Amino acid sequence: MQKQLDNISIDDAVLVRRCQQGDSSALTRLIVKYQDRIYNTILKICGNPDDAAELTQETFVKVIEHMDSFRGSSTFYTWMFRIAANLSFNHCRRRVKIATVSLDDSGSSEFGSAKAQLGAWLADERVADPAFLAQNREVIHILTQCLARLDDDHRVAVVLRDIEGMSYAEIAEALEVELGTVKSRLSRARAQLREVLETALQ
Amino acid sequence: MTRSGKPEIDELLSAYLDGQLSDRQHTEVKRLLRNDKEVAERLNQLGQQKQLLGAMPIETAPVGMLDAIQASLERQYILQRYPPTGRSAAGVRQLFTRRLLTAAAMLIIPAGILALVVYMIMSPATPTSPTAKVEPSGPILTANLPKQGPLPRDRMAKGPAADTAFSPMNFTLIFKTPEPILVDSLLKKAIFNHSLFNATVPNLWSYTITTPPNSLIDLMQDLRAAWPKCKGTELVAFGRTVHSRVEVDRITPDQIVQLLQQPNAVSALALAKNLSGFNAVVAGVPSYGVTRTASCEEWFAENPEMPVRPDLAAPTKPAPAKPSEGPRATLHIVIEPQ
Repeated sequence: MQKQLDNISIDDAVLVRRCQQGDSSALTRLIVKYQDRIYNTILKICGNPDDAAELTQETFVKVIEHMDSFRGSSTFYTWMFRIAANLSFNHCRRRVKIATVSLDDSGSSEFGSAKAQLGAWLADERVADPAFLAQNREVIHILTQCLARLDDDHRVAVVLRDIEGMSYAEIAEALEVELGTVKSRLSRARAQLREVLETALQ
Repeated sequence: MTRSGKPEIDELLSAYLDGQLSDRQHTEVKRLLRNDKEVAERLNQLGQQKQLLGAMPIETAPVGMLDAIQASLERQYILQRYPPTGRSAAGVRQLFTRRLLTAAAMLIIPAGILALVVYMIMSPATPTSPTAKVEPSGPILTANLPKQGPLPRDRMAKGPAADTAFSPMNFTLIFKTPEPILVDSLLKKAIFNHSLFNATVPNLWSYTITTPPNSLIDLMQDLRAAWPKCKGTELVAFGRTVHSRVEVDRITPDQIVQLLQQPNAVSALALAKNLSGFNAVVAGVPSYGVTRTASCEEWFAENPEMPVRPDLAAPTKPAPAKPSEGPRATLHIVIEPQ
């Protein structure tokens, strides 16, 4: 993630100002800079690659449409993630089935080894490096499905914090909630995720 | 594995993991961790989970996301520009007015023709004048003018041409393009690059730029990139009134520069008229663009019957632009999505 940011050194504020003046190359740079992070975040929230691609596209279209109204009261980064989170929320509400996604298909034999590895890791047996474990497609699949079972508010909070790496203040700004709300949502989300994981691995 | 702990302890541990506790809370949690094994185990579980989520690889956006965004924007702007039509009250009124005007025209036109016939029969014969004829539609002097001779001073002073001689150049450039967003962004970029914001009045799919002709000539250099993105381009040169206008289809950037280099609106209109003829003929030549390389000037040389204005007598050396001379030029640019 940081690797991508380092490639583009121009500050967001400069790019945004240039966009507002009609510089299309600045707009392209902003899209290229953030498209993967927005897509990755939305994918972890909505759980479906096609929907995530569509929502990412919609996010940028909204960002561009409202670029002139962006006055810099928040950072461009959190403003953009607020749009992405709102679109993802609406999408989740429309497709309630995400919340009731089944974990049954992860019970097949191909997931057996992934479950064993994940179970061992969570039981603190330290059998694998987390980065190594997280490269396993089956493990990613199980984690994504478990995330999909969280309440919308909780899922967004944990994705923004633990996957996107936002600070509490940035999450509060992006979700337009109090700092205390972020704290409690995160705590509940983590506890809920632990329960879902334990259930999935049984 | 330990089952979920008490919510308040979980909240403390979660904030502890993220370094979000005050010094006092931090010390309290440390003390708790030392004395309560279950709490320490719970912290370990939450920490592992956080570590695992953080280690998940970043999924990259599908290839072509940028193009998809651009296409989506284009679709949206086109829909905004052409909203679905309905049988609105305004539409019904307009239809009624048009029908009324058609009926009126059907009555007036035959009456007019009849009046003209009567006039021609009744009026005394008058000798015809061999002097120049002024087109009713505009200020362009055409037939019977001595090709290289100076423009009669009295006409400069009195005719419609006199109106345009001292009025600013006024052009409308129309880009007919299947890629309106791209052309729009090229246009914005050109305006930005030449610092013409203050001279520009933007609107949806159109920009009106009022500035000295020299600035517009510079702007045209950047705008050349828009031509390959267009299915067609058209320029309308206006005189003092909307009735004195010349339309030039398939206008090229060089031709616009030539127009802007004219010393006044009269010669710009005359050149526009000549370019209009040139472009129409060139468009009729099927091999144009493959074998034909004749320039505008060569074409006029090959077609001596075409009227040439005195100020265009030596078109190979266009009149130098004089920024301090005369009023500003107005270029109204319109993007027409196709």
